[in-house]
Parts: sequence; C-alpha cells; structure tokens
Amino acid sequence: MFKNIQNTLLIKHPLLWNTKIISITILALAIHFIFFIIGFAQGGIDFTETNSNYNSSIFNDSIIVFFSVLVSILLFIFWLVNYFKNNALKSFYPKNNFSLFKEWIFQFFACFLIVTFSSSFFCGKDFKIRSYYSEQEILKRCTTLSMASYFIEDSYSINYKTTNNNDAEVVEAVEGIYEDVETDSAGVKFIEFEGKRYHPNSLFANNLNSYSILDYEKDSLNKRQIRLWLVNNKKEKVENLFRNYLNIAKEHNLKSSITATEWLNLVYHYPDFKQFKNIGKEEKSEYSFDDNQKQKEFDSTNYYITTINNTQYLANKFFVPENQLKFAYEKIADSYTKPFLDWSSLLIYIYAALAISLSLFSFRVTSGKSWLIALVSFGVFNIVAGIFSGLISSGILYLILTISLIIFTFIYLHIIISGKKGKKISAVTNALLISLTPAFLPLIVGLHNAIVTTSSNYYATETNLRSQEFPVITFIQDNSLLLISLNLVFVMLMQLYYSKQMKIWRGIAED
Amino acid sequence: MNEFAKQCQELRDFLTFDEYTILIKRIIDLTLDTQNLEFYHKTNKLLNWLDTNETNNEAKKEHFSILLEELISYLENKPISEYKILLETKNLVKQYNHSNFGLGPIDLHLQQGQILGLVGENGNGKTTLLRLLCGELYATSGKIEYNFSYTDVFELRTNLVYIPQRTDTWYGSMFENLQFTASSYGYSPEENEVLVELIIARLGLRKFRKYRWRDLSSGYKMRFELARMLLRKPKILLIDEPLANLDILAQQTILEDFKAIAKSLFRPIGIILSSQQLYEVEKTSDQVIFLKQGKQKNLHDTVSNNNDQEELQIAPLVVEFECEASQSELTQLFQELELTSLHFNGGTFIATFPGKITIYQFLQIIISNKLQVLYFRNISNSTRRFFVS
Repeated sequence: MFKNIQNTLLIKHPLLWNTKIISITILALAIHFIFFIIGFAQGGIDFTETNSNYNSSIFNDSIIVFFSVLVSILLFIFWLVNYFKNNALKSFYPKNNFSLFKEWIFQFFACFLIVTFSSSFFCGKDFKIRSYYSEQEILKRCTTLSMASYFIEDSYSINYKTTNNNDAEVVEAVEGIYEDVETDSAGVKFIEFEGKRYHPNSLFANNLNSYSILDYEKDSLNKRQIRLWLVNNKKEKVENLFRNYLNIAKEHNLKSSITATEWLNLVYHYPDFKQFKNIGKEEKSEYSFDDNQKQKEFDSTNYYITTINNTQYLANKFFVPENQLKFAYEKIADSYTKPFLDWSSLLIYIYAALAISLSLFSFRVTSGKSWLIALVSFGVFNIVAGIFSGLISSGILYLILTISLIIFTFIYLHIIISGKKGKKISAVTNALLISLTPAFLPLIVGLHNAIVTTSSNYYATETNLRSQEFPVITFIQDNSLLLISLNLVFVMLMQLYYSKQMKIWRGIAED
Repeated sequence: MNEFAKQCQELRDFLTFDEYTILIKRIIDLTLDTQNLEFYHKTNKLLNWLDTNETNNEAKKEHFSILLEELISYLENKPISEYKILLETKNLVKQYNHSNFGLGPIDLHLQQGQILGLVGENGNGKTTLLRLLCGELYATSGKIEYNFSYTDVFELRTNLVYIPQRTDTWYGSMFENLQFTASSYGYSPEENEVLVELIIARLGLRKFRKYRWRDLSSGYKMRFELARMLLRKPKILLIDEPLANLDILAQQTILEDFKAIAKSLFRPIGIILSSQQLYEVEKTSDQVIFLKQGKQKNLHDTVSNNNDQEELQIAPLVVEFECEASQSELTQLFQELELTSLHFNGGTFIATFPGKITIYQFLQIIISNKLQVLYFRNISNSTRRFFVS
C-alpha cells in the first residue's frame, strides 16, 4: 500500500513524496491508535480503591511514556532516513517562494504526530473513564455524593471537629476556618442561617466534599439547599438523598453499615441538629491503632477497636463508602473537567514539535556541518553570556545578548543576500536564526518584565495592588496561554518569510 | 537542404546500414524533440519490443523505419529556432585570498548549440571557471551576463546544471531519482514514467534502472547525471572532467552524446566542459580555451573574424611526432624546411616550422629519409601546442 501511495505521489506531488508525509502520517496514526487502545484498556476504574489504598498507575504510565519516547525516536530515524534521501533545494530543482514553507509545514505536522504518542495513551485513559457515565450523569451523581457528604465525617471543612462537646474548644477550633461562625455582643459563638442561630458544633457547621465538575457556585447552592431542607424539616428529602447515595454505592458493590433510614435517624435531629452520630467515610482506618492513651480516650459511641492479624485498628460503628466513591468519582469528574489533552498541554506538544521541525528545517536548508557548528556556537554563547550575567548578577544582560544575537543573525542574512560577496558564515547564522525565532518574542516579554520588576517597586507592592500598578505585567501573566499561542502565529509568519529568503540565499555563491 | 533534412538523411543512412545502436539514440532524440506524449509511447513501445526481438533484423528494420518516418513527418514542419547567445563574460577575474593563484581575465561567449572545451593542466583554473559560470563562486571582478530571464539567483541556478568531477551521492533507485527530477520540473504524471524510460534508454541505462548509486560504475554515474540533466532542460550544462575514469569507447560515446544534446535543432543548449583529453575535446568542441596558470588562450579565436583568419594562415606549422632518430639527426634533416625549433617532449618530438611550410613537405622529408615514424599529428590548430614546455 505504502509503495503504491509513494509511486503516485512521486509523479504527482514530488514534495509530498520527498517528505514521505503520507506514509509517516498513516504509520504515526496507526501507532497513535495502538497507544490509545492501551490507554483505553488501562483506563478502567476500580471502585474499591481509595486515596490511601490504590494500585498506582504511575509506574505503568511511566513505562508507557518511556516506550512512547522510544517509538518516537525510532520512527523519527525511519522517517528522516527516507526523507533525507532527496533534497530538491540542494539540487537546485525549481521551487516557488512558498515551497519551503509548505515543506516546513509537513515537517511540523510529522513532528507533531511523532511526539504525541503518549498523549494518545492518556487520551485513551480519559476516554475510557468518560465512557462510564455521560457528563450529565456524572454531574448528577457528583451532586448526590457531594450533598450527602455534608452528613459524613471529615467533609473538607470540618477537620477540627472533635468528639467531645466542649463548646469553647470546638468554637475556637472552627472559628478560624469558618466564615459562618459569628460572635454576638455577649461573646457567644453561633452560626446564623435564615435568621436563626445554630450551635457552632451543629450540622450547620458542616460542609460538602467538592468535585471538579461542581464549581464554587454549585457547591454553595447545594449547601444552601441542604440547610434549607434542615431548616424547613424536609426529612424525606434528606432521606431520599441518602437513598440515592447508597444506591450509587450499591451499584459499585461497596459496603455500608447503615441504611438510608438509619443514617437519617443517626444524624437528623430537628430543630437544632446539635446531636448527631459520626458517619465514617470508611469501615476502618488503614493505619494501626496502637496508642494506648488514645485508645482509652476514644469515642466508643462512634468507634470500636477491631483486631486484624494481631494489629488493632480504629473502626467506625456507622460508615458509608465515602472514601471509595470520592476517589472514583473524582477521577471521572476530572476526565471531563481536566482532560489530559487541553490547550495548555497541547501547546507543550506543539512547541516540542515546533522546536524539532525548526531544527530539521534549518538542517535541510543549510547543511549538517553548519547546523552542528550553530549548535556548538550557541552552547558557547550561553556559557559566555551566562558567565557575564553571573558576574554582574543580572539576568537582563543574558536576555539582551540573546535578543541581540537573533537580531544580528536576521540582519546578517539580508546583508549576505544583497552583498554579492559569498555566503561566508551565513549558513551557521541562518541555522541559529531559524532555530531561535520562537524565542524572540518571549525574550522581549521577559526583558520587559525583568526591566520593569527590577527598576520599580514591583516586589514591594502588595500582590493585590500589582494589577493596578503594573497592568502590562498582569496582562502578560493573565494571558500567558494566549501570548504563547500568538507566538506560534508569529513563528509561522516568520517561517513564511524565511522560506522565500532561504531559497534566494541557497542560490548565492559560496565564496 | 536544410539542417533537419540533412539529419534525416543521416538517420535513413543509419537504417540502411543497420546502425541500430546510434539510430535508436537519434530516434529517442527526435522523440524528445516532438514533446508529444503519443510519440513518447510509440518509441517506448519500440524499446520494449526490442528487449525481446533484438535479433529479428527484418522486423526491426521495419519498426524503425515506420517510427522514423512518422517522427520526420511530424517534426519537418516544426520551426527551428535560431541559436541565441546564452552567456558572455568580460574580464572575468577570480582571486583567492588565501592563495597566489588567480584566474583570468577571461572573455568568452557561448551560444545555444555550442560546446566550449576547457583544457589545461591540473590546477590552472578549469574548475574555478566552471564554478564561476554556474554561480557557485563570485567573480572578484569582471562580468558574467546570462542572456535569459530569471527572477532570482536560485532560479538562475536551476537553469545552469553543473556536474562536478566527483558527483554527490544519491539514494534510492536510479529510476526513482529520475522520476523525482521529472516531477520536480513539472512534467505531467502521464509523461513522467514514459519520459524517464526514454531518457535512460537514450543514455544506455535501461538495464540499470533499479540500480542504486553504489551499484553503478563511475561511467554510469556520469550517464545518470546526464540523464538527470536532460530532464532538467538547462540552458547551459557545465561539466567538469566528464571523460575522467572512462574508457576510450565510453569517452567517444559520451562526447557524441554531448554533441547530439547541444546541437539538437529543437532543444539546443550550450555546453562547457573541461577535460585533459585534448584531441577528443577539440574534435567535439566548437571553441577550446586553454588555461595556463589562470590565463586564457583561445584555440579558435581566429575563426570568428577575417583579420584573425589571416593570422591563422601565417601561424607556424607545429608537428608532434614519435621517431627513432636522434634530436641532432632530425635537426639536420629538417633544416631545409627552415626548422624553427625541435623539442623532445615526454617521448615525442615537437617540431615548429614557419607558417609557409605545409604538412606535406614535412612528410616528404620523413619519407625521403625513410624515417621510422611511429606516430605523428599536426598540432598547429590544437591546444596541444600550448602544453609544450
């Protein structure tokens, strides 16, 4: 198949044939598919895992990433060996002004396909995780889990709740972290909701476990909804919430020690909701409980001590599988809200492909020898510039030198083209110019920021005032993704320009 | 009878005398002249037929005859363009910073259909001149004028094919490389394969179409470069030492090819070649430039105007010969021909006589004195005389 495609391309589209872009695209897509399948196969969720007890996939992921890099290198070698067989530019075959640009676009595309194998693996994982539930369904389920977590111990904002009922101690503990806790003129701490005051150690002090699919606004509304149910004594609504929660748990064969009605009875005591039992988020702690002193003090109404293999553990009398559900559903929610391949991670891949393709382009239009000299020269330049910058303790010097180098190589190219004196060292400077162009705008921005921050009281200014005093820096920081994306457009435009210039430069006499 | 009619008669003679080897080359040339896909296919069909019917002389004659007449009738009405000047140099000088060697000043011109030979000892500037003319080097002073249009230096260099003595390595099969050249030069997909087939047949590469660079001898590598050049349709071909490493038969064949390529009536180009093979180059070239320490000496300077023609007539007679007689015996014998000088030069004698002496008088002396001459050549009009120390 490849042979037939190549034969057709050879006589119809010599540039496509020379770059082997069709073959490499087919091959790379096939490899992407394999990595995607591997990711999909590995993307299953074990609903019994928790935050502290899970089979780490990092090791598997590392192996896959390692293999993806290996495959990328091998494919690069295979591609380049075939691609470098012919070079129409060096043979002085006719080329239009945009021909080199087209060739670079093909190089960039091939590089992008080759460097992104690992992304297909992670996308496969995301895709598998998403395949459990639709976004709408996961939103519904996370809402249920999040709302029910209000009635479970250690939802994220009740970490300081103690097991005794010493009001002063509790209030002191919670006051620091709850905005809800207020103090009246008599010094009494309370939580006010809908005009009524509640004890700071009541259910009204609780909070929700959040999921990434639920934003702050949704969390607030859900919390308000629960409180309204409590205030208005909508017992059946709360019981229904527990039922839905336990149904989800049952769906995944997860164990709980209570039914929805029992749960309701344990935590729901209208109207002040001060008395409630602790609903554990797992059956027992993962860690041994051998502190004798603490064993004497532990709350026997909510906990008991169990011994497994001669090791004592603190166990909950009443528990639901919150840890397992939270761990699993957070993963599913994240697959929608924080997919592996978003624009920022894509930009990393794009820039990697850009760097490789520009190196390749500079190698193709100049020569291997010039390219290598350019690489070594730039290394030496960095060392010298680094030493000088270090000597005067200023990063600005390094930035200025690097920007100057790029400007010099740009001007030198035009001097050589118009000079009719031979190419001199322009092959080396051209290789540098092409490779360093993507760094030009970021260096300018970096220089601006460095000058502004060192010549003003930027670091002395309070963080919240910086946006008013330094709007440009703030804009740059707030729009870094946009600026990085615009830099891509700049590089492409420059490549369009270089393509024409490099063609002319190629025709210039050597000496 | 115009030039085309003369060529046609020559081809018919080849057919009459069964000179198929040269005839097939000339038929391919005519086919390429037509620039007609139908003829490309017809000639290619003949080539394929020949692969299995090489010994069937009767049928072969018939096939050749039919195709030849078809080609002639197609081309006889095609206008033959006049040869135009392609290149002129004026006081062209190249000086290297790091060396004492300097080339020039060089004044030359080249027109379509012409072959210009560059001869000279090693290190006298032949390659430098070729590199200057193909745009690989800048001249220190003087001018090179190319009389054809181009938009930039790159486009200029696409019109100038320079084949160095040591050609670059290429990868993949020969056929594939030639197809790539053809498609890069805008030949249509329909004509690509058939045209490449014709061109490799024209240069005797038909058996080697799947060969790679490393599989080919240096002679065939040179032929590959010529095949590629034919596809590139350059205005000027500049070729450095094309005869080096070729046996005598291959040298003659390739020079004959140069002549046919340059002097094509419908697709003429200019060729500048350098070589150490003086006689072969002189036989093929329309002009010969001898370079000695970078300085130019023209062999056929005198052909172009009448005043110089007179100079030619009074130019001395220079004869190179190999003889068993001693230098003193010969000096004595040639005294009656007013011998100007007699040098012993690398196993041969070089005798110089006044311009009024003819080669027949020289031979009369040889015959009348029964001298054992193993070899002789009148080099009065050869650059060989420039090589005499």
